[in-house]
Amino acid sequence: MGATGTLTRIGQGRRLPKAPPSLVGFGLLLPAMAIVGVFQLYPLIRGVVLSLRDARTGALTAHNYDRMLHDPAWQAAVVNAGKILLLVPLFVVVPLLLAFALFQAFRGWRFFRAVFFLSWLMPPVIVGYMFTPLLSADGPLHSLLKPIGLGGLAHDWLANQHTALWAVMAVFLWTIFGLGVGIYLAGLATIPAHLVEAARLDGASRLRILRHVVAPLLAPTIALWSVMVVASLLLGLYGFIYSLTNGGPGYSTMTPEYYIVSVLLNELNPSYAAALGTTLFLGVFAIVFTQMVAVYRRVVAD
Amino acid sequence: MSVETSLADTRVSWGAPAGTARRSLGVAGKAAGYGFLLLVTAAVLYPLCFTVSTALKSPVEYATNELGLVHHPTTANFSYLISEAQVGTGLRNSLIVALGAIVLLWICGSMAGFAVAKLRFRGRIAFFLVVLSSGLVPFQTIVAPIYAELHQFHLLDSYVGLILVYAALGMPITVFIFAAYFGGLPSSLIEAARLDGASTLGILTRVIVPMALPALAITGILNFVMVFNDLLTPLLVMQSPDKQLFVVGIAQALGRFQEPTQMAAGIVIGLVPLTVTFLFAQRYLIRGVTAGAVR
Repeated sequence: MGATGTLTRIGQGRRLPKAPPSLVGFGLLLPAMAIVGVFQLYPLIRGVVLSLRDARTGALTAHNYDRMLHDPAWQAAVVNAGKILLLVPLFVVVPLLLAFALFQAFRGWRFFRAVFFLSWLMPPVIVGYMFTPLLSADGPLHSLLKPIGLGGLAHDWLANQHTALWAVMAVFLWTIFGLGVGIYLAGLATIPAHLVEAARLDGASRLRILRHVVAPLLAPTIALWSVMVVASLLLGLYGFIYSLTNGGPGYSTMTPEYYIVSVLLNELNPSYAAALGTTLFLGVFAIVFTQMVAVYRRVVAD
Repeated sequence: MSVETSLADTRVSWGAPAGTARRSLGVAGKAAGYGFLLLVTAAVLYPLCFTVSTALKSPVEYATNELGLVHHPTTANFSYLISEAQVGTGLRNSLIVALGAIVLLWICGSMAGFAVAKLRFRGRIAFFLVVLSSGLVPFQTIVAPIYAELHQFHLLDSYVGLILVYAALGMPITVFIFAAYFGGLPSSLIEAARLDGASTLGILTRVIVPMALPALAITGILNFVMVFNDLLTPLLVMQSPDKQLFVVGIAQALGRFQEPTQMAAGIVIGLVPLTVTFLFAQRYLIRGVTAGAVR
């Protein structure tokens, strides 16, 4: 698996003769360490300190965390994050099906992969603005649905608080699925051809080969992609929400990451934003960590 | 080894025809597969075509022909946009910040990646893990303290401040890619250079870096996309409009506009730079983002 494989390979590097490696080595690490330390790790610690201070007086207080527990906007954001995570299987399976389809020796698979990839490359905030008219009640989606008798389904997806969150998710799926296809294809390329060949000689159908030979060998890639999906669902929606809904209507598309930024930039309350940010970090860390342990334990067991 | 070639190799045996019965089954399956792929392709391309078509309409045509294909294309919306959204300034600023961050990441990332992959000393694995896991810290978590920190260092509304923040955000993946790439290079080359009397720094600059062009291309393009597509960081750091980055400038203009044809033109302009980049750098980009998946 990704980092582990690299670590193992690095561990096998041979000891080089002469030179004082520690000094030179640390010298080479220093610039990267300094940048990460000053602009990633120090702010993380400083954020914890900031979150424990009163916004006006600077005195030590748990006030920010207390407010968080009773803040309706934050509660709505956390509930929305939970709803969003229900869609993880969809985000994992759709690119998988497309990658399987492309893997079946289709002519022009490079073309399809390139088209799918293109949407991932686009700036999220611009994609959001692009979809705003498309999702409106008098938009082209409506004119597509009407002739096939689904005109009743057409309404202003983004203005309705029951559909807005799912509309944002659909736009996000449009943007990110191509990345998943690319990653799955890279994983499929590592599967030894002779295993597939052997299964075919034994008379297994394509579907059975996919289910019982390819899918288990692809498990590490699926695991990696599902971790990426969870991380981007929780932390990568800012641009989409900014342009599509601004967190509304009501709090129906408010997410933790979006709320933190609006507390900072609109309410100008860095202490409270730091408290929410620290909580978000712990939450995301717990979810991703649990997911990785669960997924990799199964991969190892397989 | 590129993903392309290995996938093609796998494909040959996977797709080889077997019995006739299976082949006729394969035709039906293939038709279904193509249908599925074409449907998804249409779903990807339709919004783009619709937006381009709208952007080419005059407001007069839009009033009578809102959803159909454009009949009398005009570039008026684009010329309006280019002056209104300060497209030229935005592009210049995005390039300055992206190139600054990329050069800084190349220098720091290649040095650190080399040390981790090719030198043996205590603490290098610990360093590697710390840098990699710093990539797990959500930017929204450190957004408030970073703002305070930049304010304190007088780095708000400056290219340098934004470049440094991006260097920190891009460091984990950059160090990872360089370490993985250098790890795959044979150590015998380094030992040969060392026997010829080269110093560690000399080996890095004269032996390793010239061989690292693919890693430079991949990290360069990945970080370029990160800087170019980002909304939140420049929104936070930059304040004066003449320093604002391209995508933010477009987004803010789109927030002000009411005329749908003008909005569509702004969207098209916002999508063009990376689409062009993609056409030229597709191979490195796909390899770059899938790099971590298959090692």
